[in-house]
Amino acid sequence: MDRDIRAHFESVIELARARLTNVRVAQNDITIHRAILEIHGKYNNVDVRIKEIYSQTGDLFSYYVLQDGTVLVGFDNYPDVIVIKAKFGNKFKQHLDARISHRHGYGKQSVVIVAEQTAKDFLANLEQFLIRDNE
Amino acid sequence: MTAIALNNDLVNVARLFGDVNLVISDAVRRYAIEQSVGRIESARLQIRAYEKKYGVDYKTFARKVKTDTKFLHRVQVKNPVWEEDAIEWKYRIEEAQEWTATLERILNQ
Repeated sequence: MDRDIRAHFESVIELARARLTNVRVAQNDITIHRAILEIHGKYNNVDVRIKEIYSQTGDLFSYYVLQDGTVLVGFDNYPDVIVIKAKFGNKFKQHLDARISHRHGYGKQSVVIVAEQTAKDFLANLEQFLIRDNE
Repeated sequence: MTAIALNNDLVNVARLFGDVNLVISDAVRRYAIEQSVGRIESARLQIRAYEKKYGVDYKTFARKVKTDTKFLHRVQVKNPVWEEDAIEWKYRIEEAQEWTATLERILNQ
């Protein structure tokens, strides 16, 4: 890959080890055309899950915080029809594969479009996300 | 042709088996085939695991999570963070296709 994915993954792992406990790097695989990173860890009493994928067909991510199996907050850019409808309105069917960064709230009962997220942003702002979403 | 640096002792051992260029080319080819097959098998194993978990192939899954609310509800119940499966499922399909193309290219040389 033409980007320095290896250095990026190492910096995400380093930040995860600084911010989380019980960190487990479930996947860290880089080849010339694709790369995947998956990290699990704990932040206080909640579960944190990070997955980043880089490939020639586009980059995908999911960053989630769960408590006892319930989503507290989550970010991903997998095509989501509610998000696609919100962005494209009546023309949503022409964009069903659109990758739009979005945020799921508690229990995935809400979803809003957000600016592009990175694992570093997510890890750095964990506390803020939890406070805001538990209010 | 590409020139690469090799350990002299290894090159001397390779000479014991014949033309050193042919021996090393054959060894690299075998290694590339073995690695490609390993990647394909691993990707296919993960694809099958996702198909079993969600009961459909990826194409159906990707369509139904956007068009079938009952299906999406079942998926959410099964795994609240199904998106992390979905992104890897797609990734593994592309990975299997990519390494299969690489393997075919090696085998056709």
